[in-house]
Order: sequence, then structure tokens, then C-alpha cells
Amino acid sequence: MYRFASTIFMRTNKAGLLFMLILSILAVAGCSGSKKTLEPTTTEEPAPPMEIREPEPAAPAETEPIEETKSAIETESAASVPFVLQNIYFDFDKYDLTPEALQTLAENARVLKNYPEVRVIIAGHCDERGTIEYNLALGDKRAKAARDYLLSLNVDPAQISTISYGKERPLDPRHNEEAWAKNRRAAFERR
Amino acid sequence: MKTVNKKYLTSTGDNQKTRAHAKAPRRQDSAKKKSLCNLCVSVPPWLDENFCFFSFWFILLTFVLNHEATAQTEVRLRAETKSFVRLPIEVKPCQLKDQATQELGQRVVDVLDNDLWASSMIAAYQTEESHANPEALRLEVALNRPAGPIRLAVQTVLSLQQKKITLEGQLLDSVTGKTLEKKTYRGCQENLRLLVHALADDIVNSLTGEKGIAKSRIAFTAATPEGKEIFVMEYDGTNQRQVTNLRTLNLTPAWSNDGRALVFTSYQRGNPDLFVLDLIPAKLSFLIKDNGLCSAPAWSPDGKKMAFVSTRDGNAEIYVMDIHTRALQRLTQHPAIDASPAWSPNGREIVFTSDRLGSPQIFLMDAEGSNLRRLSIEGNYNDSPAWSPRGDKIAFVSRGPGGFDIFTYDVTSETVTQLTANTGSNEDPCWSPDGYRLAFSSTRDGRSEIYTMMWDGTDVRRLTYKGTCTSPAWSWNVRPAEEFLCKE
Repeated sequence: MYRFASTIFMRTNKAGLLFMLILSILAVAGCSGSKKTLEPTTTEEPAPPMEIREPEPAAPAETEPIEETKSAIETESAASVPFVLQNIYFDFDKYDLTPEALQTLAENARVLKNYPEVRVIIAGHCDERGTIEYNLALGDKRAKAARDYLLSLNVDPAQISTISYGKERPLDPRHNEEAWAKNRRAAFERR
Repeated sequence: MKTVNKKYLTSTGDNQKTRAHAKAPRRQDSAKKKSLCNLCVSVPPWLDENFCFFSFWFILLTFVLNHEATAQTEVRLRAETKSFVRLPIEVKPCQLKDQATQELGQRVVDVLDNDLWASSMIAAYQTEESHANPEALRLEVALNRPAGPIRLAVQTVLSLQQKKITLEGQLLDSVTGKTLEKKTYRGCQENLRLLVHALADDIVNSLTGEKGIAKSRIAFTAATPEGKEIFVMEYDGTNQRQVTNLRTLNLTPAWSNDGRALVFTSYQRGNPDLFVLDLIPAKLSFLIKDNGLCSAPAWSPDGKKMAFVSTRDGNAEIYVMDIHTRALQRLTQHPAIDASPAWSPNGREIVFTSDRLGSPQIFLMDAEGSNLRRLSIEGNYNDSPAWSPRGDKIAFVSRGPGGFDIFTYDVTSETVTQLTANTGSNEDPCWSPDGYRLAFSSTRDGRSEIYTMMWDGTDVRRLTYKGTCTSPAWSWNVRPAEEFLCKE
């Protein structure tokens, strides 16, 4: 999702940028405890002595919650389309599409066909269990499973590309079943 | 120093016979000892029959197995840890010349002490054990100095002139007073540790025929705010430094055989591609950029080829690239996931992970992609194979009820041994260049760090304190000559 925000910031002029920054700050302020960051790093534990501590990024658009990204998209002009493509989710070590995923993809396919100028990257993600190498391949399988189904619904192939992040970009950094279920996903990012 | 033992002797007997040698009682008539020595190893002129006992422990044999599934595998024997007795050596105080200080001299002795222990074959004892060695790699048992006099000794002489160091190492027989070996190392003051590593490896090589591990390094990844970067440290965790600063995800580093370069997956272009990072001088270049995933690089033992995973043909398959011609050969043809390739030490086979049976399992194939077979390992989730440089064992990770743990599969006996248990998640095993130790990542202390342990799971040591360390890759025991020199 952070790709959305960053591309949009780049495209807009300074006044628009300022406006959106204000919006973003309001969104952050209004956001309560259920805040999710995209950064996998956790810093609850005190740093051991040898650690090279680097400061957290100064909270630019990239690490802000998902909510204000939506609001940013909605303020865009007609050139950019206000919609959100839903993530789909997978079972552990699986890349076949669940009935819910098929439903979500059908909806996403409808949106993509309505906006043929929109280009998306489907990013395949995994939970933290298993090796980096295997999960990279698994994420690739998940992204391609989603892409192939969209293509079977006659979405223009030029609209879709895929990438795998394996287990490197969890939505939820916790180490439990609930977090893992959220992290086993194929996410749609605007190009 | 010259190599004493032949590393790849052709077979003079089977496994049982060799073990019988190793367990031979110490008190034997000298004629018999001599004959055993001659049978097994070529003995240097200075190594008289009284040293023969020790050489039994270092017998290194190669034999070709007749079992069908492992017909191509060559195996070098390893010393049994439980019954193994390290060869004791006294490390004498360093003699100082020119501007060399007491502090530098003590550092030489401490690092040497540490390095000799790390060889897994030698027990080093400083002449004066009064101070605490800050290097401290040694085992608890290290303090149990043998009761009698120690016959072998190392004498070092350190000279410092305008930041240039000359380190002389002598291997002495303290009974006869004879110098058995002598070698001089030159370099820059800031590379003192490296000079001592070189001395330690030469001593280990001279006495045991093993190449040692003191010059080897371990690469790994650690998280940064923008992703993950590649780090390099010495085999014992010292001198940790970040070698990439690409501000993106950089994953799964692998060493080149000459220790000059690392190859790894980077998202620098927004896509997971393979990059080569030359370390001296630092230079980053593309190796493979495809549409799709390129990951899990593994250099072949002869350094001429690289196995890796690519989705260039649509699905995760294993490919081998000729480093010089850049020609690609596809080895697997299956719609399932094929990942994590690793070479056998003779370069004739590749072990890898595939989920073609429904869950990740470990398979073997010849380096041309033929003769595919599955390793008979229980459990429904086995991954991350790494073949020991000795050829005898394949380390892997298995997922059980308690999480991920490291196991070894013995190629000869086809038996599986569990090395870690009940200590968080233990993953990413890779072998030291002598095949005696394994580096791995573990969450046993909370967050993910790099550790090493002996091949049988004993003597676990923590090397990192960053909280997010994964993907250790242990280099061969080589250092480019430039590393010894002073920087301009």
C-alpha cells in the first residue's frame, strides 16, 4: 500500500502535497490503538550493547497506517481512480485459491476491467515460518495464482505484474496464528 | 608450512578398520605404532613415532560408497567428538621486537589460542593462564590443562615498524628443543588478527592436514529500517561490518570460492534479482536480472558454476549458470516449487527442496538434473539442505510440533540425527569449511541471531547481538592477499 501513497505524492504539486500532508496528519491523529505499520521490525526489547541502532524513519507516508492512504487516493483528481483492490489470503504452505479468495478476485477483476488504464502489481507474501528461499518461491506461486485467475476472467494481462516478497514484509509482525493468517496473502499494489 | 597428511588418500580400509585405529590403546609397542602410521598417513621427518598416537585421530580417508543412492558421494572421515582427544599445544608468550607493545603481543597469543581451539582438533594452553582471554572461544574443558608437560609449543615473535607488522611463528618440540616448522607473515598493524589467523591455520594444517577455519568469514543479513542489508564477520563473530547499503531488501548471501565476492538477491531494481558484490575493491554488479524471482544462489565447489532458483520460465525451478559463459541450464521440470539448491562437495550432485509431493521435502539429483531421488527423511516439512564439505552429512531443517530444528542426514548410514531441540526456531544451517561446525540462525534467546555449534549439536556459541540476523553463509578458508596489506 505504501507504494500508492509514495507515487501519488510524487505526482502532485506542492500545494496538493501540503494538503495531503495535513490530511495524513489528521488521519494519524484520528487513528486509535488498532494501528498497523508495515515495518516488520519490533523494538520492545532493550537494544543489546553491540547493536547498531538506526533511528526509526521519521514517519513519512511510507510507514503510516493504511487509512490515510485511502483518503489520499480519494482526494486525487480524475486521472487517478478512487478504489481499493482487496487482498486475498491463503492457507499455510498453500498457493491454491480458497473460495473466499476466488470471490475477492472476481470483484477485483470487475474493478480492473472498469479501469483498463490502471496497472497493478500483485505481491505474494508468506507467514514467517519456513526458509526465506522457500517462502520467496511460495510468494511467487501465490501472486501468480491470483494473476492467473484474473487472466481467466479476461483481465488485460498488461494490467498485471507479479512480485514475491516471501516472508519479508509481514502485515502483522506478531508470531501467532492470527498474524500468520493475515500475512499469507496476495496484495494488490498500484504501479 | 607444508601439509603433513594427505587429505584425499585413496582408500586403505573400510570405516570399521579406521575406527579401530582411532581407538587403539595408547600403550603399544613402537614398531606397531610406526607401521600404523605408515599405513595411514605420510609422516613428516620431524614427527617421530611418539607423535604417531595423535595422527591416528586425524586420519583422513576418502572412500567411495557402493550404495546405489549415493554412488557418487565421496566421504572424508571426521573425528568422533565424544571419544576425541584434542592435540595439546602450549602457546608461549609472544617475543616483542621494535615498537611492538606488550598489549599487541598478548593479543597475538590470545587470538592464536582462540583460533587453535576453533580448529576442533587442537587444545591450546597459554604458558601463563593467569589472565582472562578476551577472545574466549575456548571450551570449559580448555582450562583442564593436561597433568604432564606439553610437548608441542608455538613461539611467536612480533615486530612492529611504522604500522607494518612482521609475525614469526615457530612450532617447537619442547623435549628436543628442535624447531619443527617456521614461517613469517607480513602485513599491516590493523590486520594483526588476520596474520595470526594465517599462522593458526598453518599450524592446524601442518599437524592435522585440515585446512582450519581461522581465516574464514560468515556473511549474514540483518534488518535495517528500509529492509535488510548484508553483513560480514569473522568466524568467531568479531569484526562485524555492513557490506551493502542499498536501502532495500537484500537476501540469502553466498560466498564465491576465492572469498572475494558475495552473490545475493536484492530488490534494488524493485524486483528480486541476483547481484554480485566484489569486496576488494567494493563493486556491485548485476548477475542475473529476469522478469521474476531469482534467489538462493549457491556457488559450485570448483567455483565455475552457480546454482540458483528462478521463475524465468514461469515457475520456481533450479538452474545452473556457467560463471564465464553465463550460459544457463535448467535442471528441474516440475510445476511444484523447487528451491534451496546446495552442491555436494565433489560438485557432482545437487541437493534441494521441492514440494512436489505436497509439502517441502529434500531431494537429490545429479548436477545435470538427472537421477532424481528423495532423501528418506521422516516429517512432512523438511527444507534448507546443506552438504558438509566432508561429504558425509547433509544438514537440514525440519518442522516439528516444537517449531523448526536442525538435523543431519548421514549419507553413509542414511540415518537422521537431531541437533537442536526445545530452543526456539533453529534454521539456515551452513557448514564451516572444515565440516566440523555449523552456523545457523536461532530464536533461542528471543530474537533471531547467528550461532555456531559442533556438527553433533554440542558447543553452541552466539555470534551476533542485532536481533534480526538470518541467512548465515560460511566462506571457504581463504582471504585475498590484498586484505593483509595496509590501506593506502
